[in-house]
Amino acid sequence: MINRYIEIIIPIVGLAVNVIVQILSFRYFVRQSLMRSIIFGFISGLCGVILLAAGIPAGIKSGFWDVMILHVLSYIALGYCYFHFINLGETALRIRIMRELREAPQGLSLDELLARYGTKEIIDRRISRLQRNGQIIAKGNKYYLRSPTMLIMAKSILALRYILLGTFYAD
Amino acid sequence: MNLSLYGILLFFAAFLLHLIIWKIHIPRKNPSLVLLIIFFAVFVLSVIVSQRAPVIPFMPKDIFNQTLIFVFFISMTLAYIVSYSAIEINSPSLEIVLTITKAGPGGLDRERIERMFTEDKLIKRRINELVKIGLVYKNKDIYRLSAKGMLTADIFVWYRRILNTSKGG
Repeated sequence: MINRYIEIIIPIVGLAVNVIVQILSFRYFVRQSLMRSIIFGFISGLCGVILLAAGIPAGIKSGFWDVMILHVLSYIALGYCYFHFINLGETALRIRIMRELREAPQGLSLDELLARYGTKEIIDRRISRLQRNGQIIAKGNKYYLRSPTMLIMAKSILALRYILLGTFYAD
Repeated sequence: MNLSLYGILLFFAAFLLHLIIWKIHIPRKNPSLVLLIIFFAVFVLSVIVSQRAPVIPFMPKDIFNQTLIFVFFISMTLAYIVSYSAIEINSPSLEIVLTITKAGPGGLDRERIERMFTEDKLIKRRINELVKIGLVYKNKDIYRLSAKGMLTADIFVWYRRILNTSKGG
């Protein structure tokens, strides 16, 4: 009976492993490389899911591969949500705005907010990040595309935006 | 492969319903909540149908398999909702990459990148979004976090502290 309930939470256990390994590897093993820690965390969680799912006695499962696929897909979806959460904390403008407001309980005017977190810092951070991740390269005073990964992501978002919202442009 | 196939079909049925509703009317105020309601309603309907009149031969009827499907379905729904939020608003990084690509072999200089982004586009629009969804409120000209906003900000503050890293942004 206990094994049946363990089976239901396998993807969630995998996510917990993902989170723990990602945090520990970021802090202690991968020299503050966020992407590497995300990959380590994801792979560790996936291994955990596969091992747990494979270890459940066959007698209580409707079909080994059937349930394995379900658990792996659930875990991948949860892992993606966690990746998105990390990305929000790392790059999202809205989260940074909220953090600045959090540090100012008396509130901030727009000018005060812009003084703490302005356009220049936003652009600097993004260009620096894109260069660090090998997406763009600087030659002289110009920037060029280096890797198509972000471009593929951008075009996929544009396509999905068009399908769902009927426009390529956000409001 | 019946259980996993059923789960995937169910998710796509919910996605199709969401697409149809969006073609009729796109909710502007809180689309993520509307998405959650749509997807959850489809799941609940599927449970009722599986008990009363199973239209697909391999529809799970027992609670255990329904729960497995639920965990799968809710995971996929959450993943879709977080992806949807990326569609709603332009990411400056992706805009930079698209514009550099459009610039072609000549590349793009820093000045042109800076001209792409104004305070209106980057900050004002986003703070208005935060006010619209109730995470921030405005009193005269001062912005403050609401209780919900404080909780959300705290989650990220604690997480970044655990990672022992900078503010981000």
